[in-house]
Order: sequence, then structure tokens, then C-alpha cells
Amino acid sequence: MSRIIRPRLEPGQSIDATDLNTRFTDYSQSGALDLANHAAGSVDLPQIRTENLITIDSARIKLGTGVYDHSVVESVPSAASSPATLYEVGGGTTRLVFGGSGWTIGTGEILRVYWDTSAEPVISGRPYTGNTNSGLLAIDDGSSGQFELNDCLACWVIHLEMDTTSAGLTNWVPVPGQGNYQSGSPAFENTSNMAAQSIVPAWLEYSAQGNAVNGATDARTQKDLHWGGVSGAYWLNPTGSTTIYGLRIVAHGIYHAGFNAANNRLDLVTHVGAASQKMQLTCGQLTAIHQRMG
Amino acid sequence: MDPRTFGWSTRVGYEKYRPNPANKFEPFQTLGPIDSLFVYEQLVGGRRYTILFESAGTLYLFHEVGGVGEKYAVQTGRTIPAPGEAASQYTAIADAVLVTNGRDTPVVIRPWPLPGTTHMAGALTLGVTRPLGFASQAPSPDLLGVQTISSVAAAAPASADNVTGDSVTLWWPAEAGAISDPGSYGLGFADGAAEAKGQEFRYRVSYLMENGSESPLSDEVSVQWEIVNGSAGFRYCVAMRLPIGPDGVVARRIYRTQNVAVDSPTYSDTDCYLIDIVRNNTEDLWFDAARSTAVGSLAPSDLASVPMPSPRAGTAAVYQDCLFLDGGPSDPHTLYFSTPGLPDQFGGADFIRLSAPGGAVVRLFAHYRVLVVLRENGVDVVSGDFTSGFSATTVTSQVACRSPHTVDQVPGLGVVFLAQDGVYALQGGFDGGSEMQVLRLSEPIKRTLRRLTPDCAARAVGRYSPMDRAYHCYIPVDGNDRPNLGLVFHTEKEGWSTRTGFPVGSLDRLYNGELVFGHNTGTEAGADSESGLFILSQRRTMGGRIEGDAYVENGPPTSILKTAWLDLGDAQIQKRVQYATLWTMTTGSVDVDAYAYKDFQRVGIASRSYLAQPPDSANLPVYDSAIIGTNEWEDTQLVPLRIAVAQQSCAWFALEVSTTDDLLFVGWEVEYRMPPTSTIAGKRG
Amino acid sequence: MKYWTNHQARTNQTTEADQLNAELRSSQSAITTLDRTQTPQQAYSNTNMVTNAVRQVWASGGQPAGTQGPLWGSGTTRGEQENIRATAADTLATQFRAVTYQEYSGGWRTAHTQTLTGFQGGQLHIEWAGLAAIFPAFQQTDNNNHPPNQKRMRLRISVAGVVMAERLGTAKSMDSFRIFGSGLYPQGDLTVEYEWRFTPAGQDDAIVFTGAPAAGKHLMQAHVFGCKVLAIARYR
Repeated sequence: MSRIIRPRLEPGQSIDATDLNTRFTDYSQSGALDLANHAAGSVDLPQIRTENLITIDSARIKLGTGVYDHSVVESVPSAASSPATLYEVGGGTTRLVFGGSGWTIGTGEILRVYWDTSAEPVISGRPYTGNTNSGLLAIDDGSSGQFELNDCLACWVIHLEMDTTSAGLTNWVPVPGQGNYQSGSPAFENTSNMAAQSIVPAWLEYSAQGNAVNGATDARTQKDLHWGGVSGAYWLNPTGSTTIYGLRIVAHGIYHAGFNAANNRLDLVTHVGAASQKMQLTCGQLTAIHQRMG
Repeated sequence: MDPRTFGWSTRVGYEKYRPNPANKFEPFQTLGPIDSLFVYEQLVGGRRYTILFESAGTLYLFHEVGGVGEKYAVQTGRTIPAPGEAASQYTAIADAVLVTNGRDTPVVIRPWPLPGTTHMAGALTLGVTRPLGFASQAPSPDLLGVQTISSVAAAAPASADNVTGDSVTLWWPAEAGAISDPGSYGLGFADGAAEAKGQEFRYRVSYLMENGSESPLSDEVSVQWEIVNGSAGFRYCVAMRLPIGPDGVVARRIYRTQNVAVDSPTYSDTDCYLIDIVRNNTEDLWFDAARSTAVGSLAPSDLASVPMPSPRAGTAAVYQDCLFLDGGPSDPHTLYFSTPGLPDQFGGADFIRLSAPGGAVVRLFAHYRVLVVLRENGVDVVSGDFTSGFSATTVTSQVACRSPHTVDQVPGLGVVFLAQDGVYALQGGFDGGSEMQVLRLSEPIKRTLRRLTPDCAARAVGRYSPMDRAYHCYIPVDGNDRPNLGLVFHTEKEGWSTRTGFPVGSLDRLYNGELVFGHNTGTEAGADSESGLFILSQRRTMGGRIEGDAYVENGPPTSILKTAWLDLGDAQIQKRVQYATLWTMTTGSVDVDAYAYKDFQRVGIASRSYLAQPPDSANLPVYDSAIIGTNEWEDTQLVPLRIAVAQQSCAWFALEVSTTDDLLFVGWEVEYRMPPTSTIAGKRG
Repeated sequence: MKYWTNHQARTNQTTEADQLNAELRSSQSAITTLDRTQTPQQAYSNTNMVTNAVRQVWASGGQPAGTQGPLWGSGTTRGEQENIRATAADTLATQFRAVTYQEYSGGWRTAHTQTLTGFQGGQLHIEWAGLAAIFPAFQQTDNNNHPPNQKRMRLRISVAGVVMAERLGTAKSMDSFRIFGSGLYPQGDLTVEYEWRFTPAGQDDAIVFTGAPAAGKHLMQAHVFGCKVLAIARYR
């Protein structure tokens, strides 16, 4: 609404109906009240409450077994063949479901997703030995020989997937910027496709105390990795409007670091696959917030 | 008063604060008399203000957003002032308002941020209200014992079987090479080889408020332990439970001595030093790992902060950045002041005793470069500053201000207030050779002021209105226990007018200069009675009433002007007044009733009514009869209304004009004959 | 600011221009300066409020447009630190091409710089989430009374040269991390730097692969990858 600019009434001016009506109509201009009408500090919380000025949607679910202590766990087996089967954390019951019309993330909006859980990688023995693909290193043993030590750059992957097809939630794909580790022989993903994943170390061994001297070692200590927290985050500001009907978290492994001419990547390692090589998960949270960018 | 002509105008009245008739008296429809009122301007430019008012012992916060006005009860159970007692006084300090009434503990209201209405009930107790100052020193921390590790190799570690409860073993290695930061933490000695070594540390705790005020320090408590002979390599840390502070506390400070055990080289230094600040008021378990000598600044002296010295303060003011309070009814001749910038912290020696004859302190008011102390029997001023000291000087002992709510600053006049015998103005200052004077403004209305109900003077209210350029003062008269007569001093004219029928119980000024008042009766007069907040405006209505289920405005007030008695030169000679000419602005076809009075008689002689229209030209167009399209907008003209006076001779003459319509009256003159007749001699006895 | 009655027209009152002007004037003033007591509740949303009035968000990513992921940077090294990268020839095929002790001697490195264009001054909240890899084997040593040589990937966010948040960081061999912080910052196109710092070589660290056929290749010591950053400014 523009300012009301109207000359004052002057004595001697005719009491004119049109003039009077125009003055009163000044207050009902066609434009809505706008910038020109508001004093400083005139918009307060009650004026914008419930108008979704910042947050449009939000959702949260307990992820996994539903029990925070370790009395109930779910197991993710390590892959014995390529590609790994994607195991959905929670088995299909703990996914974020956005309902019939889903959440439409516009170009001026952002979707932020956070997840966490508790994970315990379980390994028995040293099944990764004897194969450089799973991190075998030959280290100087200090007596002109080599000593086998693992570089422990092996991990489980937990990543975020979405369904943009329908509320039936039958067509899951990784979120933009994330790969699903299903292609390649053996399966792999480049590090440039790891926007929405967390990783959990698969095993741990190190040079024993008192044995590492001047870059050489001749003994190792292997340690069990016990329960540890793992968390991840993802955000998306799409370049085109995207409708998402649901989000889920999947876990799979075991992968190892690799480098192939141009790309760093994580490659699937299958020779450690067996029922005794697994990752156990309990409970965590999966949260999504859909907000405006500004 | 009309600003253009300085004439007497009848355009007065009052309307509801929320003008929409559909609101009726909401949200005030259940309130009785509103005893006190304060408009707290929180942001510059009038962007946000809150109205605090008190009624029936409950302090309310009125906040209007988006046209919805809600009142929130911020504190209940307050003392309801007796008819002869002044109601609560409000002082703005930093971002809060201090409310004092001489009976209840001074309370600090912080009206922002204000949570949404859904959270109001709970949130009002969180952070919006808190008492002023600290009621007492902080409690001492609860120290846990230190259980040392035995020196015997392979000895069993301390466990539940061999250690008493309430102790901990917190240790930090002292040897380099053990961990990344050896020796950085831990108190006392690390090496007991050759002989046992003792340690003793004493602790004190204080609370901190958000504004930086610190509470009186707690008493000292101490903890001791001994490094066993033969053990080495560890220093120990002390654990304790910290006290949780009252509302308003945001942090705790912990002070500690150095090692004062006999074995220690610092055993003679028993001073406490700052160790740490816990920046919350929630955590209670805390441990001290600072090395014995890793102490900070010296703790403040015990005199730096004492428990709130005036728990029943009645009045407050901020002067030279210190909060001044009176001592309350039990200590009426003392003024206490806080540390500059810290309104909740009072030093043990920070007070001024005023001289006894002046009476109790009624109101503190910072003005010009002094703090004016209005007392029951005099006026003192306090000057100086915190560093060089404050001192009190008596200005006058003859003025008895008993009405703290009538004090205000009026441009050109200084501090104006109602005293027992009139309305006074305190002018001038003490700097640069100027004088401070007390001037009585109410000479012309002496007789009216004598009607003041003497014991209820404390309920009088007064405020200067920049919109009217007048000082309004509403006083209880004729035995009434609440204000029922308004006295208005027009600063441009330096004259007075009175108002009746305005139910002003409490008064304050809004950002735009209009005066807002709280009703003095409310629902005491019955359900659906006029109650709540009103504005003194130019709407010519006297409020409104509920009729049926609708709000209906009342009619306009009757305005009466009576001139001074004229003796026209000599009171002993009889005059024949033939015409009185009223100079008025042509305000329309309004009825002007005129009465002629002679010789101080009570009843006047009425003359016919006159129209406030030009007498010898066409009537100016008026509303409801002007024809749109034919008539023109007019400007008022000054016209003489010549009124015939049908009176015989008189020695003294006065004229009274009365109307309920719009009238602007600028001046008057009389036309008279003076035949040489003297006043008759007195009657025989 | 709202006003109350300045002039009330009544029957038989002169049609005085000034009086009506007085009432119209205060109404005009009130409607040009609506304050919060006058503006209606729940009437304002993003359709009638200017962009970035309340908050502003800067997120990394959008490269390439096809994948629209949030990883910083572009190309095949999206999301990775490129400050220290061994040469391709020196990298084992079963490790990342990343930080080696032949190339890295310690100190903070800025992995990514983000400019907050148009920041109006106010509260700033910044998040950095990513993945880290650490070669953990040589944290126990032998020389010199066995001091430990903890391997940690320290992380730091600096805004306009001032540290906003710093973490001792992750120590697991493969881990995800998230570091975030907030503070009040002045107006300007502020530069945010995302920095990492790894433990420098100790006296006993192994730094080369000695077995055939890749003898002499440099051992990877650490890497930071899969990184995305988000900055949120809150003005009101």
C-alpha cells in the first residue's frame, strides 16, 4: 500500500462528497499493506507464528532396534559376494515416512537429515590377512625382513536413501551425491559420491608397545572394537524441485580404501565375508528437517 | 486548552484504551480499582512498550500485539494498599522494572522476551520475575573428602570397603612421560617420599546475576589430606557440590586459598582467590584441578556485597548509575545505594543517613544533576558520585510531600509535586552558582486544594502530558478515598482548570504523549462496570457503559467556566454591568448558557442561550445540517458574543458560562455604567 | 503507533477544516507507521517478507548439477582435502591418495574456504560433516621411554580469521565426524575456513611399504573426505 498523500482541507474549500469519500477510500487501496506502512519493529513473533517462516516440515524416528542398551541388537553380515546386500537398519519398520504427498523440497529450500546409532563391528581372528585388498601392509621388521601389519582402513558403510517415486516406498535410491555401492566388480564407490554416509571401522590392530622403532616393527596387537557411537549428516538444496516420500538408512560392508588412477574410492572386500564377521547395531535416531534457505 | 489561541476549550473526555466497542472492557472486565500503573518503554521509537499495573494485590503485565490485548498476572499476593497508603512505585533499571511498595520485597520484572501465550503460565515464573538483590550470602559449598592412594606396592585401591562415603580419589600424574600433559593439574604436593606432606585448601562460593552483581561470599569451608610417606607421582583434585542459586542467578564463582597446610610454603596466605566461574545455575558437582598456585584475582572483601539491606523499600531511583533505595517503613531515614552498574549488589558501607527532622522518605527522583529526596516534612537532595562519595543537603524543611505518585518533570517548571499545602515546583540546581528554589504553583486554587482528603493524599496521582502541555493531578477530595478531582495546570497559560467525573486511579504517559489511566473503581461498583485502562483524549465522552450486552458511550462532559470576580476599579462604588462580551471561536450552533453573578452570591441570573456563531453574519455550516456539495469547509472565527446582563447594580461581577457542546472561549470583557452610587452601609446589628 | 481521538465530529459543531484535518492526520500517521500492536497476528509469511529477512543459509555443493550433492568442491576430488596428496605414483592401490609423512610435517591446513556473501551481521551457526581415515598402527612407540604418539585428526572452523570451534577430533581408523559452532559476527562477506591438522610424524612411524611389488610406495597416514559444509545466519 502506498503512502497516503492527500493535501489538507482548507477553509473555503467546498464540503465535497467526492473529496470526502476519496479521503476515506485512501485507507482501502488495492495493494496490501506493504513495506511503506510498517514502522521499525512492527513484526513480532505473534505475527509470524505458525506461518512456517523457517521450518516447513520436520520428522523424527527412533532408528534400529528401539532399545538403547545392548540387550536387543540387529546384525548386518559382511558381504561374501559382490555387490553387498543393502541391509535396512530397523528392518523396514524404522524409516521416515512423509505421507501421501511427501515433502517437496523447492529450490529455495533445504532438507537437513541427521542420524546416529550405536555400532559394534565384530571380527573373529584375522580373516583379512594375506590379501592386500583388505589392507595388508609389509612393514620393515628391523632385521631386513618384512612384517605383516594391517592398515585398518577397512570400514562398514551406513548411508541414506530416499524414495522420490511414490508413497508406496518401494523404489529406494541413494540421495543425490551418494552412491549405492552396487556397480563395479568388485563393487565400489568413488569418494566424490559419499555425501550421505557414515563409516565404522571394521577391525583394529597396531604395532605392539615397545616394538615400533625407527619405522620398523615386529609384533602386533589386535584389539576388539566394542560399541561406539556413529553419527552422520546430510543436507540438500536441490537445483530443481524434488518430492521425497520417505527416507531410510541402510548398512553394508566391508569396504577398504583404494585408489584407481584418478579417484580415491572404497572397494568391497569379500574374502572376509562370513557369518562371524558382522556389525551389530542397536538404537539411534533419524531426524529430518525441511526448511527455507532464507 | 487550545494551543493556537490559548483559549479555554471543552474538548475533553476519556475513552477506552482499546477503542473498539466490540471489545467492551476486555481484558479488564474483572478488575477492581487499578492502584498503580507504569508504562515501560522498552525500545526506542515506541516500537515496544509494556504496561504494568496492579489491582487487588496482583501485578499484571499488559502487552498488546496484533490488536490482541492480553493481561498476564505476573505476581499475586502483593499487599493491597490501604486508602491512606501510596500504591506501588516503578523504577526502570537496565532492561527491567523494579516494583517497590514499602511492604513486599522489591521485585524486578523483566517483561522481555515474553513467551507465547501457550507457554505463559509456566514461563512467567521463569526469568520474568525475581526479587531484587540477594537475600543472604551464598551457602558454602559441600566439599567431598580426598582419599589418597596408598604408597604400598600392590596395595588394594581405594574401594567402597575401605573408604568412607563422601570422598573421592581424583588424581593426575605428576611425572613427565606418563601422559601428554603431565603435571598440569592437581593440588598440593606430588611427592611424599621421605616425609608425609599435608595440604589444606579453603573454599568460598558466590552467585552472579546476569547484570554482573555478585552475592555476598559464602562462609569458608576447608578440606585436608596428606600424601602418605613413600608415595609419589600423583596430585589430587578436590570435588564438591556447589549450591544452586535463586532465580536470576546465572553463574557461580568459586574462590580458593593456596595451600595453607603447615608444610606448604604458602601456609600464611589465607586470602581467597578466584579459581573458576561455573557459567550456569544448574550443575552441582564440580571438581577443582587447578594447581595450588594457579589462582586468579583476589576475592572481593566481605563489605563489597551484603544481603539486600532494604527488603521493604518503598521507593527507588537510579542516580549516577547506582540504584538508590529508601530503607522502608522500619528504616525511613536511610538511603541505600548499590554499586555502580550492579543494581543487585549493595556494599556494606553504602548508605546515607538523612537528618531526622525531614521525616520519612516518600519519593526518590533523579533530576538535573542531583537526586531529589522528597520527604514527609521536607525536600533534600543527594549529590556526588560513588567514587568520591554521596552527600545529602536539605533544600527546604517546610514542604511536606505526601503524594509520591504526583511527582513529574514539567518543562519550564522543574520537578512538580503535590504537597500537603499545594502543588509545588522545585527549580534550579546547585551547580554554577544557581539556586534551588521551591515555588508554589497552586496559589490560584488554594480553596479547591483545601478539599483534599488529608489522610488519602498518598493516593493522588499526577503526570505531565506533552500532548496537552499541561500537568494533570488527580486528588481525592471531600472525604473520598480515591482521586475524584482533577487539577490541570496549563503551562502555556500558567493557569489551572479542574476536572470532575474522571475516574483516575493511577496515571502514566504513553510514548506519543497521551495520558493513560487506570480506573479507580472498576468492578467494585458491580459487574459490567467501567474498568481497566483509559486514555484522556479529545473524544468528548465520559467513557462508556454496558447496556444490554453492548458497549455504549457516555455523553460529553459539562464544561463550566467562571470568571474571576471583577470589582472594576473600586469595590465600594456600585456598577451597572449591561453587557458581557464573550470572545469565542465559532465552534458551531452550540448552546452557550451564561449566568451573571453579583457580589459573591451563590446563585446567578441566567440569560438566554446563545449560539457560538457569528452574531452579525450568516451561520457557519455545521455537521448534520451542512449540505455536501453546497457548503464549504470553514475556519473558525473569533467572534464576540454580546450577552445582555439583566442585573441591577453590583459591587463585584462575575460571569459563568456552561455548555456540554464544543466551545472555545478566548476572552471576555464587560460593558458597564458607573453612576456615582456607593455601596450601601452595613446592616444594623 | 496508534492514536486515540483527536477530534470528534458532533451535531451542530462547525464544519471546521482544521478539526477534520487533525483526526485524518493522526490516522494517516498511524497507518504509515503500523506498530506491533496494530499489525494483525499470523498475517506474515515468506510470501510477503523479503528473502533473508529472518535467516540466510549457505550450503556447499550443487556440483555437478546432475548429482546435486552437497560435497564441497568439484570434479573427482569433491569433498576431499587436497592440501596434502601424495603423487599418484607413490600411492598404493589399496590406500587413498592422501596425507603421507613425506609430504606433511604438521600444522593447520585449510581444506576449504567458503565466503558468506551478503551476511548481514548476527548469529552464525556453522556445521561441517565428513569422513576421516587415520593409519593407527604406530601410536605406541619404543624410543625414549615409550611416549605415546596419539594420532588424531584435529578439526577447526575459523570465521574471519577467528576460531569458532575446534575439536580434538577423531582417532578411529575410519570414522565420521561432525564439528559445529556458533557465534555473533559483524556484517560483511565473511570468509569461513575449514581446517584440519593431523599428528605429525613421530620418531618411530613407518612411512614406506617395503614388500614387493610396490616396495617404496609411501604409506598413507590420514585423509579427510566426504565433506560438506553448511552455514546458517539468524538475523531475527
